This record gives sequence, structure tokens and C-alpha cells, in this order.
Amino acid sequence: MGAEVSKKEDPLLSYRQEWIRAFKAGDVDGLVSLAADDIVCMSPNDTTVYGKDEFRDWWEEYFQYFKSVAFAEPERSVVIDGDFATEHSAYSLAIAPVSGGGRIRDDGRSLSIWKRQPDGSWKIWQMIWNSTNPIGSGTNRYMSRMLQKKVKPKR
Amino acid sequence: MSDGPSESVNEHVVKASQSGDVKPLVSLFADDALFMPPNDTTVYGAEEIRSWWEDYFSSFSIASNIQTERDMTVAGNQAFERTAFTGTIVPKKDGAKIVDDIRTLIVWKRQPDGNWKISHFIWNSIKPVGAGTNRYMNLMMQKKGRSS
Repeated sequence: MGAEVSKKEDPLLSYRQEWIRAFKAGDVDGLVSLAADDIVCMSPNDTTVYGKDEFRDWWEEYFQYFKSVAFAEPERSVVIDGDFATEHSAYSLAIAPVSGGGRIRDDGRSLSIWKRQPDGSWKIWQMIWNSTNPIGSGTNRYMSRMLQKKVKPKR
Repeated sequence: MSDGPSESVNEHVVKASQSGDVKPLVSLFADDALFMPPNDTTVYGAEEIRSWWEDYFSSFSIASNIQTERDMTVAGNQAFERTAFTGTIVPKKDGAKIVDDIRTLIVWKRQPDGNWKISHFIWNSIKPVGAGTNRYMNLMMQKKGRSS
């Protein structure tokens, strides 16, 4: 039966670190390289993204509007059972609109299901996140504006 | 899938709302479950989850949860359930219906006795910020002084 793994024996840790690095760097290729072909990604206040191509489009659009300023992960747990792993993360982040303006802080949780691939690597198969902050604060306020196309991307 | 969880969380939520009895709903969760409602802090364990639902049903009743998508993958002693549904809730204060489109990701864990319990539960809304149920969730939180 799967059990929570310690940091020392966590095979996902390096993947998670790569995810955070790629997010902070705005590295879409890096993020996409961690996704399974059939990834399902459910970002708050947006429709579900199916598959790697849509996943790439989503992040490309995201980084047209925002850049990462800071990211911290005060809590994380991983449960591995066979070829699947459940990763829960609590995070605090700050992003800044590319078009200018102040930093936006948010606190949230993500739940990612990773699937071991035939070559032994792990890829994200399903992921979802949400904010712990009240509506109208944090990043989702700006995400909403992005979706409504009220913020012009800087190209 | 015959080997996987057979309970529907959505059905339990509707039943709990109608009956006022959250016990059958809470019994789906493992003692150490992580419960992550949007725009609220993480809830740890079955006891806190029971309190959360009791809070929720003191402010809202569920008129319907119509499932539009469900994907269940059973892998060993874990099962991963992804759902999408349109939920209609009714605030007890004013009675005006609120419709929301929601996705959930649920991780089930098989227990030593063979039963399945939820170990992780998270959801969010497809709708823009300020629409759907989360607008009312926010009001509920503010009322309880939990908005900071």
C-alpha cells in the first residue's frame, strides 16, 4: 500500500525542483517536458486543458502576461504506489504583470498525479490547483482579467 | 473499475444537504485526509472535514449536482477520480440559486479492510472570479472572519 515518502527517498523531488525552476524562469519547454502526453490540467477560473499541446499553449499565454518573481513551497507531501504518485504542495508565490505594475502575491495548493513512464521517468498526468486567498485577491484576480482580455500582453 | 471506489461524492453531498446528516459524507474520508476547498485554508483530517461541511450546510443547501464528466483510474491501492459537474446551490439567507461549473480531483486509497477512503480532495471553478459559488463562499468566509 502506498505511503508518504520522506524527502530523502522521494523520486519526484528532482522533477518538482525542475518544475519550480522552469516556472520561475518562464521556461515553457521545461514545463512541457514534465507533462505526460495525455495531461489534464485544471487551472482555477479557466476551462480544462487536455493534452500536451493545449498545455503548452496555456503556459505560453500565461507568460505573455506574467513573470514569476518568487516561489516558495512551505509544505509538500508525496505518496507513491506503483507507477502513480500523488503530490500535494502548498505554495506562496509572487508574479508581476509583464506589461508593468506591482507584484501580485498568492497562496495556494496544488494536487498533481504523476505517472511513471516506460523509460522510468515521471510525468504529470493530472493537475489542479486553487488559491487559499479570498476571491478578488491574489493571482486569480489577474487571471480573470487575462481571460477577459483586459490586460494587453507585451510581445 | 469494478474493483474501484463505488461511492459518488456528489450524491453524498446532495444527500447530506437534504438530510442535514453529514456523517455518511464524512465517512468517505480517511482519518488523515487532505481537503482543499478554493479560497479557504486546507482542512486536515476527517474531524475538521466534518466541521467544514457542517459550516457549509449552515449557509447553503445543494439543489443539484449534475455530473458532466467522470474519469476513474484504479492503480493498485490508489484510485484517481476526476469529475466535472454543474452545481446549483441555494444560500439559506436569500434563497437565490447560484449555478457553478466545477472540477474535482479526488484520490482514493484502499484501506486494509478493502474499503476505499478519500485521501486527497481538491476542487475549483471554471467560472471567472466573482461568478458562481465562490463569490458566495467568500461572503461566508468574511462573515466568519476567516477572510484574511
